[in-house]
Amino acid sequence: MKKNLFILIILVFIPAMLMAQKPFQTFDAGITGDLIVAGNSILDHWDYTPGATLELRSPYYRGEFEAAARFVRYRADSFDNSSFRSIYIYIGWLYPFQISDRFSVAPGIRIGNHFLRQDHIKKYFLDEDDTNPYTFQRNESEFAYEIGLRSEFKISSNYKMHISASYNRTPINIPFAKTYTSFGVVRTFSTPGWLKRVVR
Amino acid sequence: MSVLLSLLMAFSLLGSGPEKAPADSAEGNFHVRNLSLFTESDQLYFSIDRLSYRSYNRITGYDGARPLVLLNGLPVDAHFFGNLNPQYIPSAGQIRRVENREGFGYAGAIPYRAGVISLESEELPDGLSAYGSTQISNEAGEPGPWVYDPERVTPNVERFGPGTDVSVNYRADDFYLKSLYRYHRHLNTDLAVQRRMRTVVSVPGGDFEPSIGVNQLGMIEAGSSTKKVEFIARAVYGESDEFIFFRPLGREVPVQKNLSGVTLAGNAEINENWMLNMLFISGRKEFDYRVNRFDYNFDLHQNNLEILTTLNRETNRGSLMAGISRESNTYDAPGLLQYRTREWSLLGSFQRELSEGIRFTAKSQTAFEEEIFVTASAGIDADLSDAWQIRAEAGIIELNTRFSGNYNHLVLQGYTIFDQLNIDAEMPEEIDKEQMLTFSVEQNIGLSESLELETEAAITSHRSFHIPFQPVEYDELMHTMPGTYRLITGQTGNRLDLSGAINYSAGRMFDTRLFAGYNRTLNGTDSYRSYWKMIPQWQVRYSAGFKPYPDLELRASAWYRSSTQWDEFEGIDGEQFWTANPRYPPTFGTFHSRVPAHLQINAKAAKWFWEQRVRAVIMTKNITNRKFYSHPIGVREGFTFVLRAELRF
Repeated sequence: MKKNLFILIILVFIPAMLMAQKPFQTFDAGITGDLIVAGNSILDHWDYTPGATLELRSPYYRGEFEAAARFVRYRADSFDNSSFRSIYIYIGWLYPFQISDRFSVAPGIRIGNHFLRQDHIKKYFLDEDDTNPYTFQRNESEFAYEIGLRSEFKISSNYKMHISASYNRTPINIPFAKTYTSFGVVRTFSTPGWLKRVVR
Repeated sequence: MSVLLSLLMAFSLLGSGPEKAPADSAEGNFHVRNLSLFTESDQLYFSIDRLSYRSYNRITGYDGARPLVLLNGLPVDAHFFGNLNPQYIPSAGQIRRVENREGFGYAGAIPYRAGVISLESEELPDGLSAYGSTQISNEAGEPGPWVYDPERVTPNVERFGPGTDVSVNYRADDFYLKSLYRYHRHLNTDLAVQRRMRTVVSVPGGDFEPSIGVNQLGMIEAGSSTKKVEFIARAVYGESDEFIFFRPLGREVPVQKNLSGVTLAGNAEINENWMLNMLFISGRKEFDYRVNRFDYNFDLHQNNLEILTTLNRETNRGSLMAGISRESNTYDAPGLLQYRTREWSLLGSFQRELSEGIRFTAKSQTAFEEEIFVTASAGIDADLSDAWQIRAEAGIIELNTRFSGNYNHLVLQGYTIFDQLNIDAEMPEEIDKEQMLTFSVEQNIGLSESLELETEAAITSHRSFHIPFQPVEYDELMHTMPGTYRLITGQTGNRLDLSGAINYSAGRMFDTRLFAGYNRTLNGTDSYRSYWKMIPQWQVRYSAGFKPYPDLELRASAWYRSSTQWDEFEGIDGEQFWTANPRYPPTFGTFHSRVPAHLQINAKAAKWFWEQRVRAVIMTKNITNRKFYSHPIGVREGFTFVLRAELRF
């Protein structure tokens, strides 16, 4: 899977070099609601809430760069005191195809770090008489990648709304995989000079 | 004979051009981190813990005399019992060029006897500048939230890092000042290695100590140059709570390491043709006690003092260098009280243009320490055309036993470390010097302005070679226990090394490189043949860099190395190891004395921000997630992900 992802990265970048646009002229800020619609066996043991994503994106020479953070809470189900918060911080690159003046479709890839923060610190007891339990770390994190497809509709010159589908995978000991459906709104701003300097 | 050669050279005249980098060197737009020194260059290596490395050189393999490490032309002492810890290389900023050279020779005026790894760090900008970097990495297969499933529980581990470097520098026309502070913290993500370390450092009845290692390093360097005089002074101090892989024990030993040193180097132009070079090195290494359940303690303190001076003459047709050096080492350790070694050396090199495009080169170093050690070589460089250079060289190398794994020498002098670590040993009463004959041919062909081909063939004939052999036995708790350690002296045999590389670059936007290396033992004694089976016979590396836009860099690479056989570990072949502490349910693995072939694919991307002041780097290693290990008890590396941020002002 990862090998295929790598090949995909190369293939996606090559056509992107053929044409160029002015990078970072504008930037979009938005908020998205995320709903987990499918996943692997990890979802059997936790109740998950809808998530929220805060995102920034901007046109690059070709395609769009984005940086975002997605928050999801997982409530304990099978195991006591096992609730945790999930924060996926990522950067991504999307390549929009303009279908009409107002409507575009953009496949993209995202990579980032998936942080898991446990509500309670787990102690592992070897048996009932164990007086020196092993204490686990409260925080865990791991690389995660995501592929997605976004369809976006331009509401006005400054506002856009989008519906997306994405597949996210975190290769922890037992891989953590889920598929999201998302709905969001973004506002477009002209990039101030100081911000252009920072991102270039 | 070598004395005669040195004197001969001293009375001859001539000059040299800069030597071309050999095929197994690395240079690219993507600068190399200290920790990636081996993984991103073409050098063969093995690593037990991904922090310290043993590099291959064709003179002594993985053991014996180690390559000299140079940073911006000055020696760096980053070896600990033969293991190189790249974190002790005090580069302020990233490394922009790595050059590996085999065999005997001179790097500037500084002699090396078993190869050299020469590093150049990024150039300082004018005025006041600062550099900082921080990184953290993690690895596929870590636990995640499943810690709550008692059937599938795995220990929740930290990762490599954070590792942070901070450097403040100043540069004017004829003066510069560098300073560096480095803090690196790491806990092995390989559960088997972690368990081994924890089992040693955790005292029964006490806390279950984490096997964290912490390195700190500080460096100040100042340099001044005028038309006639150059001067550099460098001071380094480092300390760490660390684990050293000690070969006679067959596993890691907890140790507190301290390192300090001052290096002064200068050269002065006497007149148009003559130059005087001077080098002074004073260093101290300490291997002290770090809490562990077996009371392992190296308790070894070493002071080193080295003075070197050479006189160089350059003319249009060649060069001459003659010099003298003195090195002394003082050891304090159990069984060794102020034990001192002293070595004087006569140095010489000579190059003369015989006719247009053909040069003769000769080099020698004759060392005096109880007996005489002769190292000398002679060679011819020829420009077969404007774009085709060829070089042939033959030489003899004699190595002092102190370089043949310094613990062997110290144990013979009375150091009681084998007793302290409960190692049985069969040692000869005396260790004779090692002797090798070398012959190599290098070619460099410029096929076009952007395409270059490099090849190298070398034969090394070991006339007398000492081989350490440590059979490792199986132990359920510790995984490994030492058998009887032996130093097998006087082995003979012949080796062949071949390598080739093709470099292609299309301006600054694209570059690519294909490197292939092959080595084999032609003949030799049984122990000799067994020793070299630890070296992968084949390795192939391919890398390609792409810089589509000014602020974006992409690089991908693939690396193949063939399988290796470690006869020392036959005693644990097929035995199980536990990948977790006994406190929680373990998973199991199997030791093998044969390390399988491996193909690794890596990719990284970097984006600059703020007009190239800030760089965010994402590195992915071993994308196919096939477990890689370079040593039978070394870390099993899976897919690794590194996040790195760099700032420079």
